[in-house]
Amino acid sequence: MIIIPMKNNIVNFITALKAENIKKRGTGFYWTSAILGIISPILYFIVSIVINTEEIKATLPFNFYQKFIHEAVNPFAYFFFPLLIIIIVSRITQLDHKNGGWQLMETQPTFKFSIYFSKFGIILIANLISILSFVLVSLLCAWLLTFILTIPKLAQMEIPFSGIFHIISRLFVASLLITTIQFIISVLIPSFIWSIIIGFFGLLLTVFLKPFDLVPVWYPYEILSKIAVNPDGSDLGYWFTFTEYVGLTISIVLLHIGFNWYRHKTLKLTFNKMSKIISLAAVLLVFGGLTYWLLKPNQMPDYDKTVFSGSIDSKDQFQYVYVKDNTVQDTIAVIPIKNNTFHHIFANEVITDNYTYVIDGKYGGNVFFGQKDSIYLQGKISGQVSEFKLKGTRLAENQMATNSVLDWSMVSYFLEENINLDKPNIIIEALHDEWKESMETSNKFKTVDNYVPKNDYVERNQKLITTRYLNLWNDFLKKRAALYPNEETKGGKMIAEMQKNLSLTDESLLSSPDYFDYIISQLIAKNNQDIDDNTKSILAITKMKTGSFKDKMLFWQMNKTIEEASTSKERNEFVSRYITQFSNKRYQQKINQINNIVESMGKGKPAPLFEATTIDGKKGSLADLKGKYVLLDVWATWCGPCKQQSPFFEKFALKYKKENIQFVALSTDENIQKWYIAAKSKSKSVLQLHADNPNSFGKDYAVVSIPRFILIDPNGNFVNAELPFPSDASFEILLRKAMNLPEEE
Amino acid sequence: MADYIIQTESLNFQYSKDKKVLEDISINVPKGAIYGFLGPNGAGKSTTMRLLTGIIPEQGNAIKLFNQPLQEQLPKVFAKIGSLVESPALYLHLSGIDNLKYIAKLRNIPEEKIHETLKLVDLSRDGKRKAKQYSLGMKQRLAIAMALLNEPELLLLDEPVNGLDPNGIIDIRKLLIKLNKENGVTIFVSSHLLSEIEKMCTHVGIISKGKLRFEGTMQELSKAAGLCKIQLTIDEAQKWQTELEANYQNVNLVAQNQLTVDIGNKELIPDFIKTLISKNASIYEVKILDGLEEWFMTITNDNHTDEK
Repeated sequence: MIIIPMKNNIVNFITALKAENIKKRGTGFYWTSAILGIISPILYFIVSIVINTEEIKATLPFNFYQKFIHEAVNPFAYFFFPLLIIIIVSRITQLDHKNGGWQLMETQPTFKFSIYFSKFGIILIANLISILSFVLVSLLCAWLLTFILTIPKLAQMEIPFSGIFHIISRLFVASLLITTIQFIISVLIPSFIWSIIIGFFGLLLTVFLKPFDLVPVWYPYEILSKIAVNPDGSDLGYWFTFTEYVGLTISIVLLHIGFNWYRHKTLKLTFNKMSKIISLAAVLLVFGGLTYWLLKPNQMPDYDKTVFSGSIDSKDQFQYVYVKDNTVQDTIAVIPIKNNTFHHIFANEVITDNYTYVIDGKYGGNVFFGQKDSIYLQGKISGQVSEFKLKGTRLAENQMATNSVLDWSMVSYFLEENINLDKPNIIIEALHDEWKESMETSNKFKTVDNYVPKNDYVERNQKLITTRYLNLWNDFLKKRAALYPNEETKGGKMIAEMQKNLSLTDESLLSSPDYFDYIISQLIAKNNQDIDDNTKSILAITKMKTGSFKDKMLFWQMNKTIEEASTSKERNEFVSRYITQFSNKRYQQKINQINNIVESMGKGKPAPLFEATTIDGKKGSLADLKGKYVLLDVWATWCGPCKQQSPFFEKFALKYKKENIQFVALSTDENIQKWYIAAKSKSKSVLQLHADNPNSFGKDYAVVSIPRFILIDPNGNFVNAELPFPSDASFEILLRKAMNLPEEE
Repeated sequence: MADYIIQTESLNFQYSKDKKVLEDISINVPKGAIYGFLGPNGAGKSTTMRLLTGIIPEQGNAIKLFNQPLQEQLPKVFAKIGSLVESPALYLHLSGIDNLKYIAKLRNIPEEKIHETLKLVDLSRDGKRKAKQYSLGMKQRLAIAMALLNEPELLLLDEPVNGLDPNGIIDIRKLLIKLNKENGVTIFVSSHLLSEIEKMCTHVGIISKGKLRFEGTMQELSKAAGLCKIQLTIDEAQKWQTELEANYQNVNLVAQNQLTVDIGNKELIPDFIKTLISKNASIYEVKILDGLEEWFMTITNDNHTDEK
């Protein structure tokens, strides 16, 4: 190759670029780009108007323009933009294939580099035009929407310049690889049909392979659509995500090969000399190496301390974060929040497990961490709505846990519908297949920055998957035993393979009720006595070796029995008989506590009093309603299921108007204003109250979820602390029974 | 030594191992020449043309343009070259003017040149029309205009008059001769028609089956082709055949009373006839068969490899 001063090369390239610009005259080239760019925002604009319900949902503060772009980018990144690239690359190369242009260009004083890359440059300009027109029309459409729709109060209306620049640059970089591949193919193959076919095939293949999780992360035709999946980009604050970098590095390698192939006409001539091979090797080494490095999954290194810290983005101030374990609900840390940030270093060892974090008793979620982890909780709270992201050393683990969806199971369906119970082989095979597939998918999770969960989490997760499928197997065995008492059902090699994966003494798994179920089923499998399963299991647990494993097993089992016990006497007898079995006092206390709560809400126990306000602003209390049955509907304006149940509740209120019963709708809303507006429109036959202190009410009545329906007798004692929903047929039966009304026909 | 614009030294080219497309082609085009590159279809004309323009990469280093190896000068050498390779390479979606604008942009030529060149090929009135509406001849002329735009020192034209009507052919021929005479442009033009080459070229090279059969000036060509073939209509042709074979070459009986004979030179015809008459031959007709054309046919013939 001749060495010509760089400046000359650049001048030559720019001349070629300008000439290309003349060549595409009259082809409507840039117009096509712009038009395909504006389809998505216009579609989304129309859809927004059509489906607008004028219902204002509670949301976190968000930027109105940014949100519009993030929604509209979906069809653009998935379809219109790749489509545009396939079309324009084919068109611009066809201009020369059809007209003998390649030879014409090669007999001009123009470097082949300039010829090749001026064309590529024109395509990149077209890409950029498409992206820019997409963004500009998105902004315009969003702005027009503000005149047509009611904009939520929390929407921020300033133009998010840096966010816009971010998504423009990401779209541009992510489009490089598909552009490169289409370009190389289109230059080499004179017939336009091949590049179109390959392009569409590449796009469609994503759709076909996606459900099977078979699309590799570097797949050129999918890199763009990942922007639609992750419009915010990196979790770790990088400008580009790793797939975008991968697209860039692979593009450079391919452009090197593609250009030399074009320059030397045949692949054989492209690499027939040592110098050519060396330059290829150098490019492969640098950019191939970079690609390899980018594709290699990362794991977060351990931290030298165990830390739980975070910040909350909210208008309100918060006081404490509680971290609780998931088995006994023991609080392992109470962390004060100052100016909505907190930082806590654990002095004692923290067992790696799932924990619950709760902020001021209202907001919270699950977090997986353990010794030498540093977790950063990023929260947004606005009214009742909250959103939390867990970052730090367990980013991948916590993301995987949040995103995990229980696989649909054919076997589970078979068991529910009693299909194939006579054919154990079908069940075993299906079970084994599903298990294998679940195990494989559990290995595939990676974050947007290519971080994968650490091995301890992956193993634990796989054990839990195995637990789930073995529990299905046990369910099947139970059904078989009942239906075919004389036939033995053998699991064979397949089930043995699954069982081999799961130890029966893994204490770290005992925070999962599934694992508890599995252990119990193994413990009582051989017990053929004519007693109920709960008794069988408690008997088996008492025979276990004293220790924390036994304690946890016993705790789960006692919890379950307490909940299922039908009378107070039966429950108390059970508790006092087995509570001594615990080796750890903490569990004894906890069980006593649970028993007390259940006891306190048992039939005939006095219902705790609470203060409330009526719609006229007067004080109202449970005490005022003595002498009447009281049926409480605990609800809140933000609760969807509550709204569903409310009409049924009101129907009964009307029906039993003349009976000695008061229907009460008790709101636990934070915002009394919202309650006031909603309550005014409700039926007058229901007494509308607002709890003055929703938190203490929730504690006293052990409110885990709403709506909750509570029936109290005229003396102020519980009849039923947790009635079924009014939409359920048993609701009225229980109500009539409690009030000694005759059964209806 | 003469100043050669194009020189190839034993140029070889093969697409596959066993089939040579070009073998030992040594072309020498002197400065200021109109060099006709003549050969039947499939002889290797286009391959040579493409090699000279670097469109297909050379296997070796045999081509010199302007006394420099071609490979070292690509693509800058095209600043001095105008070329028309194969059927016209034009952008049909562009107008004639835009096609020229494109070339002007690539070559940094001021746009005023465009109208001048259009006029030169007589397309001034059609400049704004799209090239796809042009007739075959107009397209060819536009392509020539694109090759001429930069006032090249060397013009490489592959079958430039293909598809032109007789008037068009004459116009182009006149134009090329004018460019050669007035601007001293060296022209390398390929054709499969001898008559075409005869009418304008100063030098000629003849290629057949991948080998160069002849190279020289037009004078050298007619000298080399100097042998003259005549056709006699004569009684007792068979008897005369045996008699003539003693003194002349290639005596063939073509009909019952017709013979063809090679007699070295046109000037020898009168004496030849006199001799025959003196021997009482009854001659009805003597006809000169075309010299150059016949010769061209012969040397491009398959089993004629020793001729050079």
